[in-house]
Amino acid sequence: MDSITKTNKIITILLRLVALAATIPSIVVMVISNESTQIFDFTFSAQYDNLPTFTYFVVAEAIAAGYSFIVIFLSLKSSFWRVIIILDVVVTLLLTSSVSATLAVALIGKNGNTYAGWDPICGQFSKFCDYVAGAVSCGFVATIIYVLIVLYDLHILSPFFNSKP
Amino acid sequence: MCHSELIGQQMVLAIYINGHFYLVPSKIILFVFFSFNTMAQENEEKTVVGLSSSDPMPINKPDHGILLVLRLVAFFATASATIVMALNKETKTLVVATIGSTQVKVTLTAKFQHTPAFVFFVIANGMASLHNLLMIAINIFGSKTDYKGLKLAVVAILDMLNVALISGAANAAAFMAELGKNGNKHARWDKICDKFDTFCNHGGGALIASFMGLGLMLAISVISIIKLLKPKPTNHILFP
Repeated sequence: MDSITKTNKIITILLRLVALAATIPSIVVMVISNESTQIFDFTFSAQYDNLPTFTYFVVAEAIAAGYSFIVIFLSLKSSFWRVIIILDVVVTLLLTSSVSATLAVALIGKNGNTYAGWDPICGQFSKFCDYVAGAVSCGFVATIIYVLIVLYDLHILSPFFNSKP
Repeated sequence: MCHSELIGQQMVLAIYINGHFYLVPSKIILFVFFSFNTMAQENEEKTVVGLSSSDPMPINKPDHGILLVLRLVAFFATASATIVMALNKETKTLVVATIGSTQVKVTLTAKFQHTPAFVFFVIANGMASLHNLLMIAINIFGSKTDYKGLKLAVVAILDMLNVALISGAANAAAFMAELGKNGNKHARWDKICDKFDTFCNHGGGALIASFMGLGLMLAISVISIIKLLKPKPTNHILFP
């Protein structure tokens, strides 16, 4: 394997720790965001389970968190790095898709869609909306960090950037 | 065992090893000599004069045919997804109420602009098809232009970014379509696909094309990254 110095390893491990620290709060905040309100003896409740998009968000972030945790230990051994960079691209794909889908559906919950006759629900469930917004912003930070991880991996491993004299 | 001669203005060494004669030009002897010296001295630097296999300036042969075919199919997939979704429109006249003997009719349209997720889908697929077109052009026409291997790095990075873009757009549109098809009883959102089924069918077709393009672009991105990390060895040493 080419020269992967100690500073390179330390920086990658730090970046992956930050990504792990960004995915875990998004999972936690999305899961604990349930709210029930009472209107005229009817109990309305909102949970993340009610929308398949939010379930997909939790699952995708959980996969990314587990992957970050495993790769921290795998990256100490140099021979895995080429597989790791390809898996990094796949996990970045997963994260961007989950954040994008959740944002699309959450915007309908906030603004409604007059053409389809869908009413916004954030007026009644304000705590639910706030929690979901927090979880999505955390997931967005995790996505950006993963893009940085992939770019840094390419910087370490490619012969163009480590041009030899 | 060794006997040097002058054959046609070039020093040639005749070596007798294990019963066979080998005629070796002197330049190769010099290269082998230098390489042994440098390898004995340094462990870290692996540059060997003339025998390096990870040259920063590889000779650009025309690309492998399979990458070009993959890019062509991905371009067609994303372009068709853009066009089908951009022309997605359906108008329907519904009878809402009957007052006396006249019927009150309401004309409803379903366009792709009504949903921001579909607008993002059209724009992102358009940009990805432009990117694929650019990569095809570079593949066919640009095999001579390079700057110390920068082309491979830029191609790999751009491919990765476009894969992330397409995945976000395709997935957002897919979940929106699922919401329109099934509705959501917790949020009291009705499904709209039973009234506008042509709209839903065309949208579904565009989504399928986009997902196929996504899978192909992921394969292309993986191949580009592998090419970046392992440049092709040059083979000009055998014919100095």
